[in-house]
Amino acid sequence: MSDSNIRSDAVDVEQIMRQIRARVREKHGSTYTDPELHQLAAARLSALLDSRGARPELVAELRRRSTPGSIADFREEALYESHRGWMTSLRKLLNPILKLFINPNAFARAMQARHEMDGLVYDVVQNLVVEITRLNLEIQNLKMRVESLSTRMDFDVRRAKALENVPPSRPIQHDRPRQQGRSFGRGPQGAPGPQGSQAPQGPPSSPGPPQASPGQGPQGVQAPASQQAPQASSAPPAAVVSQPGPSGPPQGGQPAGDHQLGVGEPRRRRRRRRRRRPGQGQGTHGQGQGPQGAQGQQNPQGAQGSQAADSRTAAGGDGGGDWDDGDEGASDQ
Amino acid sequence: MKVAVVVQRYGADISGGAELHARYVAERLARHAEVEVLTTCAKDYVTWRNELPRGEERIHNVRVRRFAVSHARHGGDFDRRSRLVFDRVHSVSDELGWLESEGPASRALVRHIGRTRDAFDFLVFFSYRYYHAWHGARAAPSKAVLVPTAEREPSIGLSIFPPVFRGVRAIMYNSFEERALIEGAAGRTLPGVVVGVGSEIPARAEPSRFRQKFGITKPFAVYIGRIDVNKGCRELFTFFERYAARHPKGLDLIVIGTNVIPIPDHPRIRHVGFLPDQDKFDALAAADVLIMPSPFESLSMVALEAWALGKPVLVNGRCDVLRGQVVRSRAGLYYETFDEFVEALYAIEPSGPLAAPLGANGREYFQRHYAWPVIERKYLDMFERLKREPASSKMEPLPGLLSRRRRTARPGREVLDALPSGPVLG
Repeated sequence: MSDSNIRSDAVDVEQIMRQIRARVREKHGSTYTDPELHQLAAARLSALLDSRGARPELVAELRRRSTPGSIADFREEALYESHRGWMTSLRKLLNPILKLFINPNAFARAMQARHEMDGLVYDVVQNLVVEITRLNLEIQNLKMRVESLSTRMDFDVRRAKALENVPPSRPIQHDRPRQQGRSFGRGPQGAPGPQGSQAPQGPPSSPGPPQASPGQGPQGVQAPASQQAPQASSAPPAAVVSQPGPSGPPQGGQPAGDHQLGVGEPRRRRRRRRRRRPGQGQGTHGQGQGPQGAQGQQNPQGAQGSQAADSRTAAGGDGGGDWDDGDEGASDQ
Repeated sequence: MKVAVVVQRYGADISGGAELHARYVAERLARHAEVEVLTTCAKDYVTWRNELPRGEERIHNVRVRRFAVSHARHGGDFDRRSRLVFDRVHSVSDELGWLESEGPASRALVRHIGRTRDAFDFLVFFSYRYYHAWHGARAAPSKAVLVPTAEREPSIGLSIFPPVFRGVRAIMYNSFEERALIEGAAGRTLPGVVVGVGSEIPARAEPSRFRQKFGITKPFAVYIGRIDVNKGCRELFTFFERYAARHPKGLDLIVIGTNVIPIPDHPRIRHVGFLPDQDKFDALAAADVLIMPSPFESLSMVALEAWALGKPVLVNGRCDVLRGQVVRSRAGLYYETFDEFVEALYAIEPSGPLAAPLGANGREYFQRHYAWPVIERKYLDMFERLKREPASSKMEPLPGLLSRRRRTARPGREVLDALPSGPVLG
């Protein structure tokens, strides 16, 4: 339907209605047609009446309010009716005598008024129950939406926090090596900046050799910028700019779908750091990691393909894990 | 060829669906045959009081013969009898009492049909559920052609009608859904054809004239017809008020017709009353979409008129006929819930991509199926066919006097529930 030039003969009403219903479901959860709603309301009304201990025949009468012969059908002639025709005639014949004692028409009028009132009350009650049922369903749908939104918000908050804790992994531009080096040197204290958010754009083209040096972080914080600058600039451009390459990271053991996105992001950042390390030396590498030096262990795993995937799975930080799992696993180490 | 059109009310100012249908058919057939309209003196479809003079007159060059109604309808009695035959096990006698009570009971009309049936080649009876059609078709079964204008209502479940469906020569249906319903009630396939009715579309409809006359500047949806609960108007107003709250810049609603129920006092709902034909067509041409909220229709003429003018239609999806028509024509959308109403209306809005193709489809659908030459041809072909072929079945007689009083007939509503439902899409 987004196509602005739909051809007349291409219109499929049922297809459009399916799309409309899908959109309605997406917005409001499951929808009910009026008959379904009335069915639900009838069940609710039954439950309500049962719980009050109402007489079943009264309930049935209420539902059958328009049945002929019931109070709904009361009228003047009904006073004289009989299944025997002659009796009806006789009663009518004797009516003037009856009228000497009482006024039967007043009964008839009162009963008729009562019947109309009953009908009105029944209609009001029934409509109220239907409306309550409708509102109830709407509330349920809204609750579900609130839950879903709060879950998404929680996820976003956790993600934002996690991103804040991850050091910026790469420079944005090739012509700013000094800044890049500085950002590496800042380790976890450095603000993630725009680089952080751009990191997951693509996997590194060639992962570097495994280098693990946990525990050297504090040195990195104090490293002078002049030392780091040439090291950063000596790294190959392919490793600096995030571009999807033919020899991407090993995919073994990585889950597909949404989880993949959540898990893949930190790993890619770590690999990028690894590629710069050969040029930087161990000291520099350790300086960059700070308290997150544990990531130095994960990077080589990523580079080792399926073997690495196995070890990740064993550590519980990948497989079906999400962002938090990976992050926490790294911190634990 | 001499044809009689038998209908409950007839007149240039009578705008009921079946009555207008009958008038259009009579006037069109008059171009090909000698047509005489046999009708009653009633004008009001609720009371059937004698209001018009008895005897002959000519309306738009068609001879009209009116007969007096024997008695007016007594509302209370009719309601009571309706409850009996629709909701309880009853007898054929009860059903006949109901038919008499419903009216318009014109014995003079039925007697005239019995007397003069040989003078006509065919008698076309409109609206199966009324006295004149039931008794008239039984008085001249070998020449009876029925235009049932049936809706999905409990009277179709009464046991007196299937013998008439099976006994007439042919049935001219308004829609495929009506055909399925009637054949379901009759219990077998019946000779007939889906025809419908055309409409007198003016050569030029001027939207600007309508906008100027009523001072309307914003885009709007239009409802045309009797403003009544049975026509789904209460639901329409409720839905529209909620829609207006959700879409402050959406369409307005213009309501055309006589109101039976109050119209909400809402800044975006405007009632312009009953309009003459030219204004009505101007309004349709000016509108962005026609809304048809009725849950019971055998054929919506105003929907056909909207399509003829290239306007999309939004219909109540609970009405099988309307839903079937929009799906087959690909010229509108339907709704069953408020959310669907809002989304569908939003999709049809003039700025959306659907309005133009739906309108174009509507115009084409009307030309292909409901243009007058097509309708006339279907009637004439059917008459030719019936002349050639002998009657395939005879009218079944009524049960005997004692059997008639036996309470064995199922409630009409119960029978109706068992009849086929849903749009015919195949």
